[in-house]
Amino acid sequence: MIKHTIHSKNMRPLAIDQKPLAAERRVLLEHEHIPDMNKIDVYASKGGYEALKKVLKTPMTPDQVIDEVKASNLRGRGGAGFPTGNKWSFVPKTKDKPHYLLCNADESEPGTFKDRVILEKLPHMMIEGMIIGSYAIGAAKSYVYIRGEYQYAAEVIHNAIQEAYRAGFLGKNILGSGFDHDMTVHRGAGAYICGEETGLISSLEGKKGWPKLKPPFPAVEGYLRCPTVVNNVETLAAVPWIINNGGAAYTKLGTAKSTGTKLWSVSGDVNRPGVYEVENGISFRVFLEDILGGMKGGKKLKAMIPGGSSAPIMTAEEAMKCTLDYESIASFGSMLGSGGMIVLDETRDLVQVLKNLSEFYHDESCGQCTPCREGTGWIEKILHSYTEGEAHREDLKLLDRVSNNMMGRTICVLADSIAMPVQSYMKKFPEEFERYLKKAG
Amino acid sequence: MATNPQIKDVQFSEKGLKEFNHLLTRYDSKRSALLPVLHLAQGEFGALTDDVIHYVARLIELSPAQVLEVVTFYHMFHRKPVGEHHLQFCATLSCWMAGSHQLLKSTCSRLGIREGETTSDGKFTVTRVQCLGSCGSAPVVQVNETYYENLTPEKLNRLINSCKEGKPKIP
Amino acid sequence: MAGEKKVKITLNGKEIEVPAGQNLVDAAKDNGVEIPHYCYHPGLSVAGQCRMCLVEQEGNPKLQIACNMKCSDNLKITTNSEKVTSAVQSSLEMHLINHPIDCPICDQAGECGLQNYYMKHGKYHSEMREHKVNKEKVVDLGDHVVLDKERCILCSRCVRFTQEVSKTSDLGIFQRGDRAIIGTYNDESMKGNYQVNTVDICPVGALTSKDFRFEQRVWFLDEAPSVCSGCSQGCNVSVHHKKGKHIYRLKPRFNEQVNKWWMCDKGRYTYKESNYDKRLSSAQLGGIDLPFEEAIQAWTTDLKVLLAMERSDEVGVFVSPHHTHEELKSIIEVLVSQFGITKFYAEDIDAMVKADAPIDGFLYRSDAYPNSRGFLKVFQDKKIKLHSVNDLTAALSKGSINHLVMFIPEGDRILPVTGKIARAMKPDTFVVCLTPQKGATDQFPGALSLPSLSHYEKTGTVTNHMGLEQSMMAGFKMFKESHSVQEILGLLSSRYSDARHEKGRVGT
Repeated sequence: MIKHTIHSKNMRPLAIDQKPLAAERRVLLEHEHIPDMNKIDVYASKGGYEALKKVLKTPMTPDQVIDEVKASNLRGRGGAGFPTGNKWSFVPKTKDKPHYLLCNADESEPGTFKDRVILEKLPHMMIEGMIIGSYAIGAAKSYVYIRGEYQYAAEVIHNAIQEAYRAGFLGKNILGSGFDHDMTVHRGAGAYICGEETGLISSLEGKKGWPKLKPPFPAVEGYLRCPTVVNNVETLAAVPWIINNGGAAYTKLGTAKSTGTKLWSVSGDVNRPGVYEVENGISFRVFLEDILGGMKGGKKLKAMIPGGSSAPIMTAEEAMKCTLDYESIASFGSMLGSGGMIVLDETRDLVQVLKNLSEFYHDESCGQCTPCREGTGWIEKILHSYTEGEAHREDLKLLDRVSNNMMGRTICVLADSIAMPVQSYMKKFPEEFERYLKKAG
Repeated sequence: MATNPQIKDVQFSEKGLKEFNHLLTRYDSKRSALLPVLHLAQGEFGALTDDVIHYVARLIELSPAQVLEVVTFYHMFHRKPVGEHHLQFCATLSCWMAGSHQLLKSTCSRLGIREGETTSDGKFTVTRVQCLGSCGSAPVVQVNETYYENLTPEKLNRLINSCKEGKPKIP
Repeated sequence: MAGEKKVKITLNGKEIEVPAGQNLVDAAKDNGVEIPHYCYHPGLSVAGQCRMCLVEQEGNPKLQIACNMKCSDNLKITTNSEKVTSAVQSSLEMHLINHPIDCPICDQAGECGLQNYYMKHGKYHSEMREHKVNKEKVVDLGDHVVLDKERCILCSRCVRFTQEVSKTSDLGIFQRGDRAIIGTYNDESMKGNYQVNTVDICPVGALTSKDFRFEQRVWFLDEAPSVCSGCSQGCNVSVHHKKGKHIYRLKPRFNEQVNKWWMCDKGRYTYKESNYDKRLSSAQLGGIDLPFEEAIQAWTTDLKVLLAMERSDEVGVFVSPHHTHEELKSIIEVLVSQFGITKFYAEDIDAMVKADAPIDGFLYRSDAYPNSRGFLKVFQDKKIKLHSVNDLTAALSKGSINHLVMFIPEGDRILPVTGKIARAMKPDTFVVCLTPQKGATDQFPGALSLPSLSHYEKTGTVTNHMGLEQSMMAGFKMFKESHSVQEILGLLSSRYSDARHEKGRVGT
């Protein structure tokens, strides 16, 4: 039996009677603070599984479910931001091969820990969303691919799945609808690349987590060469609300192109790091001051990484101008990504930050394709020499050239995930790099 | 000269075999069960040694090389046993900014080992790992399966002491 | 092929017609455009790992890999734009940053993918100033293959080969990132009868042949197309020799029907029978060297005596399916048609053919001869009965065969048979051995031995188990004194005619 400490002290929301801050908008996290929300009876008492009942008992057809999700304009919350309804509609209607729904719970993007709240505290919301999604795409089996390190969460989900079976929400002929569905928790074993859609599929197939060539695309040929949809935890957790309240209602939240709410996991130099749910479109300034409690120690903001370490860095000026939605962040050359925000104050050496990131990507590169395998190592070595040894101006040109040569040339975007930050740090903070040149004299 | 290993026969316990057979029923391909079976085997045998790898290969109907590919690819699988308390320090970004590297170094110092090594009494292994998904409560160390968050040097000290007493916790 | 659907694609501005669904790399090659690649191989699944085959596809802002594209109508591809050539150069650079510059000691030099592409697509100044990743070198993988993990560019061809073709699955890629290494489980020996194919397909000097290691620089090698002598599969091979003096290795030659890109390890080493240590390189009588012309004379003399006394039925000929059709034809023309010899002996080739089957589930077969079907057909067509080896030994012991002509193939396999025959002979039996191998003549100490060509020096045709007639074209001869069977019998025939003519003249 695995013993666990209460490890969510700083995972907001926290205390039982904590009221939401004015700027928060708890849609998914509405009942997060209620004890034992991971238990099915507590979840059901708050309207849990009503969406599933609505889908299977009305009954809604799979296409009607897809249409509702399309109408919500829900976009993938794992990082890519692809419209979920569209993704589901790519699955062929023919049944010559089994279909699969895979929940991507491999949360490994540095700065990201928001799925953990749902996995540990609101598993049934995700499970309900998965059953509905599987119904929509005709999948008889689904898997929660959860990163190996989240052992506690894996246990919580496993128990929740058993509860769902006992309640008749999983298994054969769910709610008398004729829809059969089996769900299984599948633990990863420590590889960031398994959070990539086809890397996850390879891993689930019992192989190294090597991403696959596209085409063919997973919707047509994915897990075991069958039609497969991979969705993020948060994306699936949003589905019950959308079914209950309608896709149109979801569009009333957020902005026109970035509908709904987003879970943000915030870390770094702020007073209140943690997980917060806000409507898309909230300004970063309000977010920082009202929700995050401002900069720690009253220091000045220097830079902000919005979407996990793979997102290009934003200057303080850009951050203060932006709103937290896909479009605004993209307009500053970055991306909303996973919503793993890291806030950096004036004391942070951004070259050292970049070096730390390069160590991460070097470690995590799967090694399958040459530009990433060799490039990630090369970038780390250059940055190491630059900061520990002698810094030369040629090193900067080289970093620019190497990172440029990695972008858009690889099987998956891990190479871009280090290359784009390298480019953005050098472009937006040249003085950080200059400092090392001056030191080297 | 190429040497072919001497492989000894190992077997899951009755409980392990029961779990193994159950796992097979959850997947539409035998190979898909490989990662869960490796977790199971590592839990039961302590490490994925040559004997264990060959056993799993037979069970899943793969070549030992195919199983070894997977074992060496994923950080959580070990070919040698780790110490009773495996201290895994997150080294990435927010934890690094919060001082995790210093905590790792000081722990190595205190235990008299280098990063990646195990103490001679088999009690502690110290490794560096990548982002554990706990950035808001940085710095974080994972001891075996459990996260210990919001560490300070003092809290870490107490944690290690309690590990030495055989009951890890932050009092 | 007739009836194959064709599509029109545009390649570098030129519209060409190619088979529908053909891999773009192959389609380009067929039309004279080389798209550089390492991991792609037409005999293996597509991996898309090396990223060398990047091309521009109209309508796509990102460069695409050609190896993952199948030709379809209206595909528009550019391989020679600046964007592509610069991308290829940087892909190559990535391959080279951690590659050890072992060229002076690497067998692959001269046929190395990195060297070749560097000269074509590289030619840049290296900017890699960091320490390279080091990995194990000279890893012994058993009897056939040596691995250098540092040279490996992780194209995974060898891994895919062991999974998809040889089905041993004994090679894998372990670890991840730039620490990734190719190898077997704990560096144990590779398995199976197809190991050296991994050396063929390795673009660099990571997997090298133990047999060929440090033997010869490849730019000194000439190539001759031939057919493997090891069994009835008849895998097409390329004989790599230096100026016709020494054969260094065999490599498989592509043949869609017979062996595709592969050959087995057993067949791989059959070339060793051709080299000097195994060879009878000059004519001998009783173990003493003598000029070839004299040897022919000696043979002619004894034959002439027997045939003059109309005792052609005392001549016995031992043959084997190691011969080409052309050699067998000359045996028939001279020995049967000209000399009226009727007594032919051989192993039970009929039974061998009937029982012929793959031994290892792939190419290597139980019939050990390259031309059993051709052999049987020749003798059946001429209605010549083939007697058994036992018949021959009986006849020899009885003394009913006094003049024995032995066409002995190369290789150890025949030695128990020829040894049996040698032991059955009476001391005064006149024996002529036409053979390339020294080992056989040692069994017949008093014999007249005439050095014939080894299999890989032959020009001719053989028929494999599928009934396919295939050509061998050596174009070289290793020893001045050795000759093809056709030449030897031709000389015999003309010396015999001369002798008879002479005799006639003298009026005896």
